[in-house]
Amino acid sequence: MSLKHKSKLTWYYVVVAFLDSWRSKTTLFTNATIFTGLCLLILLLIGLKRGLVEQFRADILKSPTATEINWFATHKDLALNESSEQALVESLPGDAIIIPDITRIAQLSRTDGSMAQDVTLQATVPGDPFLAFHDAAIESPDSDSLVISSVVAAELGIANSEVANQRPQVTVTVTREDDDGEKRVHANVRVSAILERKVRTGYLPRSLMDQFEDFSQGEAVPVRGWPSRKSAGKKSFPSYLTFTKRPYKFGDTNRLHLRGLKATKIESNVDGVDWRTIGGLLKPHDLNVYCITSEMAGESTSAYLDFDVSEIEDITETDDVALYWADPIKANLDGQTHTMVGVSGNSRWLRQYFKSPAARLNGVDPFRVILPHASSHQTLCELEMSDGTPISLKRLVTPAEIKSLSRLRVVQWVDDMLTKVDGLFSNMGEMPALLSELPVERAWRSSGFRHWLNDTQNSFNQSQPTLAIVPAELVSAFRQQSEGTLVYDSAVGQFTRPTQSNVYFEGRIYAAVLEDILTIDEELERLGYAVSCSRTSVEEMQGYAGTLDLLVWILQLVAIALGVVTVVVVFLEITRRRQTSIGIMRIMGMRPQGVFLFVFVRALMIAILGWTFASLLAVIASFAMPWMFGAACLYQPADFVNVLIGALVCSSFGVSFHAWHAATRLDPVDAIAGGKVQ
Amino acid sequence: MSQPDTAIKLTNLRHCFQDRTRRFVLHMPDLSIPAGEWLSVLGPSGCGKSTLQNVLGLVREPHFSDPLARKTIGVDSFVVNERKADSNSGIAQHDVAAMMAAGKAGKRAIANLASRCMGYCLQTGELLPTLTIKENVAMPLRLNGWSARDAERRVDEVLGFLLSAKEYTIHNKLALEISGGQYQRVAFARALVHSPKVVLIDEPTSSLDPPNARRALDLLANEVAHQDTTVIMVTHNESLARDYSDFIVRMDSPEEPWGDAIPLRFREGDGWGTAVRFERKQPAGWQETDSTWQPVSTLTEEPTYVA
Repeated sequence: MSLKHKSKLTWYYVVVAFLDSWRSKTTLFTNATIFTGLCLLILLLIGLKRGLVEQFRADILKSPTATEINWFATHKDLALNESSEQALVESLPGDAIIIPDITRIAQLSRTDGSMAQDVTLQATVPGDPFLAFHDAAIESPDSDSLVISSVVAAELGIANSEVANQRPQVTVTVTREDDDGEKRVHANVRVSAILERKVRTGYLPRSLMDQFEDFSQGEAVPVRGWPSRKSAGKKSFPSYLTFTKRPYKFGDTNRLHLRGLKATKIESNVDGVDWRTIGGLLKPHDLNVYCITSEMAGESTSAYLDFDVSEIEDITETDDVALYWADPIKANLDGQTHTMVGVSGNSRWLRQYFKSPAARLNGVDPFRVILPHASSHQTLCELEMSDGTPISLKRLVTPAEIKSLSRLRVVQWVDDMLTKVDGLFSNMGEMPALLSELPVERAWRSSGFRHWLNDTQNSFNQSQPTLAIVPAELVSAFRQQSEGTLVYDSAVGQFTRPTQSNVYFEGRIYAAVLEDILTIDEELERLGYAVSCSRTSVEEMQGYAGTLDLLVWILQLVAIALGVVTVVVVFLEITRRRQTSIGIMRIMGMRPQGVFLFVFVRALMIAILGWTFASLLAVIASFAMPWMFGAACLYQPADFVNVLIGALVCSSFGVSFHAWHAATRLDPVDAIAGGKVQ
Repeated sequence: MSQPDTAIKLTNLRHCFQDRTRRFVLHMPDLSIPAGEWLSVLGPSGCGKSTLQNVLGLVREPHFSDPLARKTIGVDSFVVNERKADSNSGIAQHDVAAMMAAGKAGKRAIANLASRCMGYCLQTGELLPTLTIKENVAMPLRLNGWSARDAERRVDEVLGFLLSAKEYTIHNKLALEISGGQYQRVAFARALVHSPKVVLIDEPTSSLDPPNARRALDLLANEVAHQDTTVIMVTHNESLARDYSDFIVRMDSPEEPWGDAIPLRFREGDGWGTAVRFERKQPAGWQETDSTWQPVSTLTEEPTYVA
């Protein structure tokens, strides 16, 4: 039999079953009534349970902080910035609202002279459940709304009626202590609501509070014309070079390790250089050169060290000679490419080699340069940065002065020293250009010292001014700038830390629904935050709901069991009463699956009709029960869907299986003769 | 195998059942039913007429290899010959015994064969009460894969033949809303609508008065005469059997276990073919062991054939 024939036949069975059921309406509706009773019972149980739980939930939600979860970052890395806040919100269930704790003491004043001092302002956002509970939530994140407590309102002479009518203007003043004195900034806002609270507090939109925070942290707020408080970033270096007679021995008390440092020995094998002039009385074969870096070097762009070079002696417990060290870079000075090498060390060393105090590169001003080969005698030269920004460097000494300043010629010293440390740099690639994006470690490893050395020597031989000696912190600063950890602020003429978005160490999270509190609590605890919330109440509610669920489930199971028994009996009766018809159809050639469909379709119709009536009655009950008995009876669409599915499963599949089983064993002749279904 | 002009042929049909008071055995060594003839089966109630008809109509499935078992029907061989719709393409022989041996697929083939070749008119018509006349008559066609449109055309054709023009309005009535005569004719229509090779009629006129019964059978006889259809009619009405049948078989009364079965001829002329004789005996010495009857040694008596 072809598939088409089969499907036609199946459709014919369905049509015959439908007509047979529909044309015997009395039986159909009688059976549907039984189903109505069963479905209605289950629906009422579900509705009443949900009503009770919702009543309990409503009692909890009477508190404005019911869905509030207070969190605290237990260490620095957990502080939230803009991106981590977004990531946190996305990791939390539902549409949780996060409000970082941005608190600022401010002065509020009005044009009539009334004033409220030391008001604690906090950030809020639209939909802030706490303020919404008091009908005081702000409308827009960028609005100029201010919500104040009744105490503050009284000081400012603002009444509720005034707020409702015209939203009075208030000036918020925030103060910052700068080096040059106190700076005050003002923002005009309008009072949108008054909270009945006895504390001196107010709520501003988070965007405005962020601006106050930026200002307080020394940042400029251009949109409001508030100035910044910039200062040079602290000097820091990628590494230090030490020259010592006694090799380091790292035992249990590795003080370098305790400070988060590591030392890499640089093998030297250069004869003929008077290293004693560097390391005191050391002979070349006694000399040990170490490069000291952070243990995080190469892994983190923040692995710069900022302690004084003299501390190396304390750390290594030696009387070592130490230099600040950053890889040389290429720089464009006065339109010519120079190799810029940083030379800074301890004062004792510098005094030894640079008689002239002016030639000593230690000091507060890093923008100084020695150009040993330059023909020009200008006192200033211009360094062009990759973004085109010019920096002026002050020339300290002319080439003619260099010889008299040092017992070793500077270039020769650099030459020798770099030859000495050449063993460190096995990969002789191109030297990184100024402001390149190469990380420090890679720069170290790949810098082309040999090339640079050759280049330098060639340049020297050709009397070409290619070498620029600057303070080591300048080279380090350029490197940090290329890594994005420093920026050159032309306004203040310094390398400064880039403006960072605000970070928050504590705040509030509002769960969208009460049940989410537990999940959010667990998630925050997992992330390492300290959390306080109304977990106990929610757990109590869930326990209550769980008990009711269990009760409802038991009752439902009883109802379903009774229902199934009833339905089976009903369908047995239907099958018995219809067996003559079934027998006739079987004799005509109807297959057992036709008999199955004959009962199955009828079961479907009964279940759907019963469910429809029950749903209508349940909806009516949901309105009538609170009015008649004071009990809430609440439904969700899913309840009706679930009951429908249950009804279909119970009535159709369960019962139809029996029908199918009976149909396959039905003797048509016995059936027609009124025999029993075997 | 049966001869091509035989509609149904079976050998050694036996049926045994037991109730509280008696044991009853039906045994028919050989039966050949010629194609295109009208066979009537007469006999008192309970003698096995309907059982015979149900076996012949493939409604009840006989057993082929088991010994005679309680409440089962056994048969040694059973062949149904189906003349193809176009008379030139010959006759298909269906070995029901082989089909039964083929298991589930064979049973399905038997069901298909029954649905295609057999037309049933049950004792009281037995139309489906919740379907209209048209829907009732169309059922055999739809179950045989006819489209709704073709089925309706054929139903109109058959009903037009069996019902008068005045009765056209009943087509869309439910089965319970028509008279007894109409009901019986509609039952005939349903039995004939798919042009079966064999029509089985069980007490067709029991609910009709004699004039209406004859009118209904006249219509049926006219219809089957055009279709070369074999009719097997079970009835108590000897008069009707005489008037419409080519062959009549009288079966014994169960109260007379040793009574002779005498084949009767009621019509003289060339229309007679082979007649059959049923024997129903309860031989002495039968033993019941567990659920089966032992083979009956006394049932070796050959049936008498009437030439």
